[in-house]
Amino acid sequence: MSVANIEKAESLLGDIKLKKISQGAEAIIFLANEHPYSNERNCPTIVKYRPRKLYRYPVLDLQIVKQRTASESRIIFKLFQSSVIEFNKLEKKKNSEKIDRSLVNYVINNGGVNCPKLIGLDVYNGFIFMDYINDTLVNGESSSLKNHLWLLEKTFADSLSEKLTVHNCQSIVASREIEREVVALNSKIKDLLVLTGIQLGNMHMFDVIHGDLTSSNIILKKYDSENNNDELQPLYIPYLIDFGLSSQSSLTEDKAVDLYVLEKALESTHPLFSKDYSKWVLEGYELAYEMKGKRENAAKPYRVKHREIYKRLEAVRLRGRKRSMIG
Amino acid sequence: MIYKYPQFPHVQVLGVLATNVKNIDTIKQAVISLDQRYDYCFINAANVVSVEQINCAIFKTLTNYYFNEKKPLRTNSVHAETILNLSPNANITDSLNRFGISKGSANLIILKVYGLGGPQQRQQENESLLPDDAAKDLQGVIQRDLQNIKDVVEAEVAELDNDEQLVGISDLKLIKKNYKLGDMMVEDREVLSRLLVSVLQLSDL
Repeated sequence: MSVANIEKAESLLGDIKLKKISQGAEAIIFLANEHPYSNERNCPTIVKYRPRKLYRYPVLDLQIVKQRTASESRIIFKLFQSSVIEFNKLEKKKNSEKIDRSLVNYVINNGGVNCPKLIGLDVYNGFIFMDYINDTLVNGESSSLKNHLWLLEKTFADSLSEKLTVHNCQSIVASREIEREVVALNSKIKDLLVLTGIQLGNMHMFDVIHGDLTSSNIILKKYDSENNNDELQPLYIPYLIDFGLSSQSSLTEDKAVDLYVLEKALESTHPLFSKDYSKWVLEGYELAYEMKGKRENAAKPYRVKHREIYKRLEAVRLRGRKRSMIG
Repeated sequence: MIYKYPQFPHVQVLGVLATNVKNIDTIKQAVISLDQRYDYCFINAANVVSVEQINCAIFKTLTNYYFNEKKPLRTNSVHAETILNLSPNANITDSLNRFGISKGSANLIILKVYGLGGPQQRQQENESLLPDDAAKDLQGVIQRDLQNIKDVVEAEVAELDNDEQLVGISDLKLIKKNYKLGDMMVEDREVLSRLLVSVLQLSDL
């Protein structure tokens, strides 16, 4: 089935060469060697392909593929559009003083969200073309937040175990404590997760629910800044990807569930440090609301909104993701 | 400049920028009366910020043409369709007026699409249309058309291959109005181009 789908995608895309990156239940992600319409050659592009499902009635299937492809693209556009609007507000306030429009500043200063650029759309076959924002980590893996954290965790664990054998430390509990302390000190991770949290906050303020927040759905892109010349520890900026399960909603419940899903995902992919990670993400999330309040000169309503979501999150933690027990 | 699309290897598009056009009314009349010598896609360059934007509209036209089985074209030609796809609006007359030749447009972008074939013939065509002979033939046709454009359009004609050429030609106020950008409007051309590409891809879905 999967091979047939890949062949189908290749035949539909003409001369574009594809390399499969990952596959989900509904879509296959390819890395294409060419941009579908740019003049520049050899410009890699991400292609998300939703194959037709043979078990569905064809007319209905066409409709479903079309509708899902379109809705995912709309979400990507909405995030970009809202980010631009936020930025314009800020620029207006600063009396048309020109501000650096680099994407990083979209997030840090102005309440935007980093997401891939929408290049093209083919709703009839279920293709979405997006720009390729991946980087490779030091160990050659792709730069998702998950891989990045795993790499840091592993490096840390290795150096720790080395130290422990040297010092011949006996208490396992003590070593755990040390471990936790040092990771907490690792501000690189903290900054990254706070930055992720800020983006999530901004995204929720745009009334977009991601629906599938995991550390592998957050991609890191190297940011070349003049102040940062450290080759081994480059500055990374998180990008949100995969809006296949996203929706638009302003309900507190949906936002809280979104955060809960991320917490659970962190718990299972990074079991040792998930508590710290979640804490930092939520710190960033709160910061986003605070900064928005400051920008709008209305600190209180945003603080209230944040508190509402946070309270709901606590409730969700007790009862789980599903509010109703139906379905 | 010839634009190519790896997904549709047999298609080639000629893209030309004509500045200071003097016979705009003649061209408009000729296009309306379907004069063969004016069988091109004439776009009001004031609405365009980047080559990417143009290519995006062509890409959308091609996608619809080959894959939308119900309605490959909403207008009667690929050229009119490209103009329509450059517009966020589904109204054909209105779009042609705003984005095609419009009153007072002194600069035009002229496109011509080659090697299209029928919507359902794509697969066979991949193999049959591309051999060297056909490719050489096409080069000749393109050269002839380029000369023809220079003859029928009284303007300075240059191949459109980078965004720099459009600086000073694109009218940001007009773009803001025609694309109904409102709060979204940005002056940074790269961001604006990204914005317009998304708007175009998502219009009339």
